[in-house]
Amino acid sequence: MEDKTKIYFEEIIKDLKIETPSKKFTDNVMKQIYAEFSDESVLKLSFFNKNKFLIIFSVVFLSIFLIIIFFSSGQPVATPDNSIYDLYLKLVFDKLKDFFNVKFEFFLILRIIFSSVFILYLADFFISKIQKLNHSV
Amino acid sequence: MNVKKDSFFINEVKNGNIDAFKFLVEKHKDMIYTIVMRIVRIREDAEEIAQDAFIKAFQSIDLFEGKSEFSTWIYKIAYNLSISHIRKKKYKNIEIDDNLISDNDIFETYNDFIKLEESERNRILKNAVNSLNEDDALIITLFYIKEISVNEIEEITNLSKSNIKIKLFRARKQLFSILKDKKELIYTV
Repeated sequence: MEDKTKIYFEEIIKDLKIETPSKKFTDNVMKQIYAEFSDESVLKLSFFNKNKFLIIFSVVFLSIFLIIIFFSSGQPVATPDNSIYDLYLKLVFDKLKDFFNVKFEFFLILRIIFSSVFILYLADFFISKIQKLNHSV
Repeated sequence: MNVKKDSFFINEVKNGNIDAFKFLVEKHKDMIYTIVMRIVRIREDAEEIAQDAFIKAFQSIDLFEGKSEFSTWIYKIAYNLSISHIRKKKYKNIEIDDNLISDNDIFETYNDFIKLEESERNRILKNAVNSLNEDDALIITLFYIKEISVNEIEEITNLSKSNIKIKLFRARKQLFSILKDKKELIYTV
């Protein structure tokens, strides 16, 4: 009899309709989302929203590169252990200085800018992570 | 017709295109609202909770990895919010005795029901489903109206498969029992 009950039930339940919310439902949701998003963007540094991996990779790479180049003081000392590295470093350093033909301070400022950008990115990254944790279901 | 999948809009939202979320709201709003209504039963509360479900989904969209359907994921959010809401409000359900209905009663109830006008059938059935307990009403809707599998219902509600099957069996009998009572009311008025 249970099979028949199922059949009767399937026939009856066809008449059950899905409920519909008010006509303004979607607009109300989107309004709240836009408000939410603008609130978040005050906290977040919105220019870091896309392609985070690419940005962090570039910034880290450039920061390390600039630190190595502009903070290598004195003349390179050729030893059996680091001769290739030092020669390469000197070559890059000289080429860059010739290319820009500006004072050393310029590169220092450049490095500070890159470091600041990197720190800002890290701050943004952690703020967004904390927000996600707070909003997690 | 080129119908874009949920994943397209989800990726758009993840990439910062907030407007893409509107398509997801439009697509799922009726079912989300129905899920909430089955549990909460009050139209104004249901509307608010359904909106909250979408906002919560938007806030957590980066956590959606696509392992399940977006619909299953957002139904689960709506279900959890609705359950928390009724726990806060401490709604009480009327216990329905399904042991009283015989196989013969089921057959008679069915025969009388299908003779009614469509609008009347819709109204009576909606009231009957709302008389079931929240989980039973929801499971009936998901299984029969949205044709969601028992596995997916398990994911949404965290109820075990066997429990869902028992609830389906019981809900069928209870619904016939409610319809039988309503039929008696219709014919005695």
